[in-house]
Amino acid sequence: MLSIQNLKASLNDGTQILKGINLEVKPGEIHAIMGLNGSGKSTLSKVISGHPAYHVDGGSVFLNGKDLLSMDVSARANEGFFISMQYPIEIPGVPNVEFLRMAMDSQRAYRKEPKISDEEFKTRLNSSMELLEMDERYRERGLNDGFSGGEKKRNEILQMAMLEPRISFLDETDSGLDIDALRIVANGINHIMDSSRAVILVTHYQRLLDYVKPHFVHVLHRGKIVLSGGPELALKLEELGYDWITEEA
Amino acid sequence: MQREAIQKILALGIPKQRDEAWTFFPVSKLRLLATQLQTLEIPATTTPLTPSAKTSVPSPFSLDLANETDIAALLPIAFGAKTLSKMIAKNAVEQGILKPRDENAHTVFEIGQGAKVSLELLENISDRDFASERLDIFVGKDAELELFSAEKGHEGAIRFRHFEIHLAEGSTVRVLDLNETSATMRLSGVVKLEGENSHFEYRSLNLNKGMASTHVHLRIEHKAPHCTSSQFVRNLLGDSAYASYDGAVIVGTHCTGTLSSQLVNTILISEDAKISVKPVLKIYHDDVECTHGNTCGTLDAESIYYLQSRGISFTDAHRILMRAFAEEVLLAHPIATGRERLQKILQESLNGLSKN
Ligand SMILES: Nc1ncnc2c1ncn2[C@@H]1O[C@H](COP(=O)(O)OP(=O)(O)O)[C@@H](O)[C@H]1O
Ligand SMILES: [Mg+2]
Repeated sequence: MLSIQNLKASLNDGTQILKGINLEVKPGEIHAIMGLNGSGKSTLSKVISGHPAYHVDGGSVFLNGKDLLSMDVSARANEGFFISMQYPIEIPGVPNVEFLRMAMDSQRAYRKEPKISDEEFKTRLNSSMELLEMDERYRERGLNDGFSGGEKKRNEILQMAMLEPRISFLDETDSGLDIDALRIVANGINHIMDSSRAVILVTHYQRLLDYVKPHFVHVLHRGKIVLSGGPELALKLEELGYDWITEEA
Repeated sequence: MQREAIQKILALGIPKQRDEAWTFFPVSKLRLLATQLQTLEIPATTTPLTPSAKTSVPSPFSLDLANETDIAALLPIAFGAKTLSKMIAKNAVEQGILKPRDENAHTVFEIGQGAKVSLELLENISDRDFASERLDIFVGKDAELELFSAEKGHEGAIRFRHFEIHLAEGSTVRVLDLNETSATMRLSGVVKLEGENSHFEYRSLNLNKGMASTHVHLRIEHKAPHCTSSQFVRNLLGDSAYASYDGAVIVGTHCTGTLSSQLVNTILISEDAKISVKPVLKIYHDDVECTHGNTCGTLDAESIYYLQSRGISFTDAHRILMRAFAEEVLLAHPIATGRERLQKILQESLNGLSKN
């Protein structure tokens, strides 16, 4: 489904960040990417989504056979790639609900489908809000406007629930969540996940992986995946830290 | 009176770039003004300037030619504007529109004590290239006035609007102004907070495109204790548009408890657009809180990316962000009549703004 080959990317000032990433993700799979701060996890998610701060120096990213790197940011999203940001920004003056509807209609227009009806939108929004236990005031507020860190993360997953992406790259969605919120968000992710979709999780903590169980765990170090394994790898990292890998690498 | 106004303008001289009040204005556009004024044919019977009182309240209005320093205040009179005067009775609740009858217009408004008035100023739609307008407004004790307008000047047009507002004790005036223009425009105003506890709010949104050149020159004079004034201005400048904002707050010696704020935010949509902002504060008292802020930038790239990452196109993302930026000015205006009317106009206007 998602095939990343030898992906290299740098900042616009020339600093190399990603130094040849290879990753294959199949439908139904959950992958966890772990690694020290600054190893390039967020950069990977942004490069795949097309963030303008990065320049792709080589390699390829295909989603269901389509070349993502040749598309603009919105087309990549409309092809089914979703990124949950580590630090979602606030856009005051753009109401959450209006934004969600525009996003859904953009996706439909891309697929040459008619706009979503009031009825369907309402039903979808209600059930997604329920799934993520969102406060009713959410409907009146501006996009992430004045949201706490945890509320922003919940809103990311709510967007994921509404857009039903093929593959979601969730960047530290668990950071800043209290235990209840973590359970709600993890439950949301599991609810959206099915055998036709895939998830890549970036996390520092096993506690998320207790809820959302990964099939594969990868360690990113200085812009490269230096180790891959099963769920037991995350447990080992929790216990031993990264020294034993970074020394080898 | 027309003759005197012409004489006064000629005596003051056609504005030059070095004149403080005209630094930003493209004064070359006024090159022919002196000749035009000198060759004007003045009809023998001119309308008396002091308007005939239509109610029993005597009009306090008389034009102070001798002390006038801004030619924009004199232009309509010099070009022969007929003075229209209107009084609104004590405690009346009224909604009205004011439509300039000619390309040069002068209106005197007297708003009775305790009245609540909403007034829409209609655009001077004369297709003449030059139009000027003056408004003198006297707001009675505890009266409330909402004044709003939407303008769409065409390229090549030159528009002047000058207002003088006098506020009595406990009165409030709220101005809301939306300009979507490619014209050259100058809005000048003198606001006199004469009575204790009077309030003036000015909100303006400028969507300039083409070769638009718009200039605001505002003087807010706090002349009594416990008065407040606020200015909230947003500019979205596309193409080769230019905007300037020169807003002064002058607080007199005995004006204890003054509150005043000024905020000017500008977004340059095009690389050729320009903005100049000149805040002026003259404060002659200690117990005064005055704030001012001025920001200028482009649409936020991270916000565009965020919206796009949800499938929204680049063009739509731009439109969403421009609207959010613009709408905040309208949303801050607490009176629904003007706010809702201008929100409708804004929707249509944004589609016309382009990135060049
Ligand atoms: N937009 C950027 N500007 C400057 N430096 C950046 C930018 N994005 C990433 N970096 C740098 O690239 C490296 C990897 O960052 P990041 O991908 O955020 O790491 P991680 O998410 O693994 O903590 C860090 O050294 C970071 O400082
Ligand atoms: Mg990160």
